[in-house]
Amino acid sequence: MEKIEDVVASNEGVTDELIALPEGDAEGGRAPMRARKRRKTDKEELMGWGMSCIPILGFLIFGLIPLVFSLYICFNQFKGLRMNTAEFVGFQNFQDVLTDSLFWKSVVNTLYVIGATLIALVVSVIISTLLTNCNRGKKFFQTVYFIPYVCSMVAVTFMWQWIFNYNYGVLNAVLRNLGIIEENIFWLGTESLFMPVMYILLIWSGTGFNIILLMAAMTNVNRNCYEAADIDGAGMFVKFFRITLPAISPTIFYLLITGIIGSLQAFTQFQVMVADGGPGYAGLTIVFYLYRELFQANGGSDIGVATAVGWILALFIAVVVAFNFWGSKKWVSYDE
Amino acid sequence: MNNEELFENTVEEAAAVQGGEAVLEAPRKIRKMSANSTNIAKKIVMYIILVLFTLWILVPFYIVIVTSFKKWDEANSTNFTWWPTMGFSFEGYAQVFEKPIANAYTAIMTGFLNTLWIIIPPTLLGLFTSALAAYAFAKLRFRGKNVLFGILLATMMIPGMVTMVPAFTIYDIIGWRGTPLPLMIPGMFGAAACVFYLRQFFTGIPTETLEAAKLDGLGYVGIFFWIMVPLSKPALIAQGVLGFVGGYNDYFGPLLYLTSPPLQTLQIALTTFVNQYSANWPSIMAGTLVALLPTVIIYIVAQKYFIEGIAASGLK
Repeated sequence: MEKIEDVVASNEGVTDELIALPEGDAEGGRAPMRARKRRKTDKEELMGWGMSCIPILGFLIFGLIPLVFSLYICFNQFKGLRMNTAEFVGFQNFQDVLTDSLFWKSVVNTLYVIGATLIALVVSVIISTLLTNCNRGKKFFQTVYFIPYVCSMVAVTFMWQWIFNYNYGVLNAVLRNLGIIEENIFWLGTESLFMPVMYILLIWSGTGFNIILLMAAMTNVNRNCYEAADIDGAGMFVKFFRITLPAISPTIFYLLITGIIGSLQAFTQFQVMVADGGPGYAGLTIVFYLYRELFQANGGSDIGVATAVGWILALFIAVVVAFNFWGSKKWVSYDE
Repeated sequence: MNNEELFENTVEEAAAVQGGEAVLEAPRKIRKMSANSTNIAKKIVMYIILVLFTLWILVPFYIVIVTSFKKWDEANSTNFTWWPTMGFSFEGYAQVFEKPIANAYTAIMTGFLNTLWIIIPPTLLGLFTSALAAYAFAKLRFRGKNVLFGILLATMMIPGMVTMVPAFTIYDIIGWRGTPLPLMIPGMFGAAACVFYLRQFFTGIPTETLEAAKLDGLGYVGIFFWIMVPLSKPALIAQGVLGFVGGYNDYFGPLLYLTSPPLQTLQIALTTFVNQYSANWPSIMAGTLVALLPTVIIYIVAQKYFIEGIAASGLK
């Protein structure tokens, strides 16, 4: 025991000494060591560059080259994927996209997806709040709520496709037995019902990730604040809106922004659910539109138009990111 | 020294709080008694909501499981049953696993094996290169370090949707389309997000430990393997598991590059399988369950790492 304390004490002494030494003296004392270290530093420099440049090299090859190439592609027209058919068309590809009513349909559908993400976020905040105040079974609930996040989106889509199946699906059967409907509803084949069905799927799979992050943020909120509020006789809602919500606002904002960016790129659920775009193209998202330009539309690939769609989507994402910088200053409290 | 002071302060504070509590105890008790019944009511409502949300998450899985064990006639009847009343059937699973011809795997099995050999090497190698870079950024001194790190962070800003089509075209030109190479090679160079996360973790490892190892004659590579890697196992496992699950569940990448049946990954194979057995719901649900299960099992086994890895990503 004593020995350890001694060591600690002496260590502390050493540190104190080092700190106490004036800056110039320390430099002077180390100068000879520096010279000896020179060769080693060269090696360190070499190792540093060697190790850190691998991901950057990967980006240059697989990120920067396609990025530069995309500027070439989006101003040209091609026949299929053959480069030698290139024909400069200026902004024609962008004009084609922006005057296509189907593209705007996909934009509206994608905005709907963002709506589902917002609902999922609100649900997540409510569930996380309840879960943080829950003592028994907390671990179990948390484990269950997170499961959808690790599930394959393809499998999840087939799961809901079966639940909403027209002839044999459980939902129609239950609604019929309860007497709510008399005839089966064609959930996935009716234009006005398609997006509501997708909302169920999107909300089901969208809460897990949020809940994990929100729980982590809520457990970090200073307990003393709640105790003080208790003493003041604050109610549940006051505590939530005055303490919890401001404290977790950075997390909520982070989830909001990543959620919107993710929604803008929604594809898998929709393409698996309805490979043809759904009734009246109700399931056509922006990325789905891009995918169709690349593979299906006009019986071949239109890489010029597809790349233009990619740039327009990137512009939408840039707007969201800009909003992020602006909004986080305005609404989020980062004090602590 | 400072720590001791801090500790004492905390003890004093705690004592003060306790004293304060003792004073407040009497009025609080009275309030508690009247509030008790409403508190219990609140608790009940809270648990009802939590249980309902649990059912909302789990019932769809139950429907998948129950359907996968049904006979074809029962699954394809207009009255949904919550239990295989006509007896259990393993027909669906037979179609998922049984070899149609000798020495040929089913679509799902082929897909599963393809996923393993296509996803695991880039995940591991990418983790390794990311960790090396993270180590260099966290602990080594070299000229241009900050500039390089800035470039790396900037790469995270570029949306994948812009580079996707040109990358697809390039891979087509160099003959990589139809091979797993576009899914494997880029990932092997590491990922910026992973470097960022690991760098934060590595920075927390005390430099003195590394200096001591250096004095013992370990080189930079030695320090990485014998000190950084063992000390940061949880972070590496977290990133590895998240990377694997992400690759396993990826649909868009394989959809672009690997649609020929012998090379299909599990996600694509599942869609092929569903098209092949369309309207045979026990088989489709069995295939769905088999595709879902591996990541759910990994999650339940490695839950700690999952949650740490994800929580760290959001608490920047």
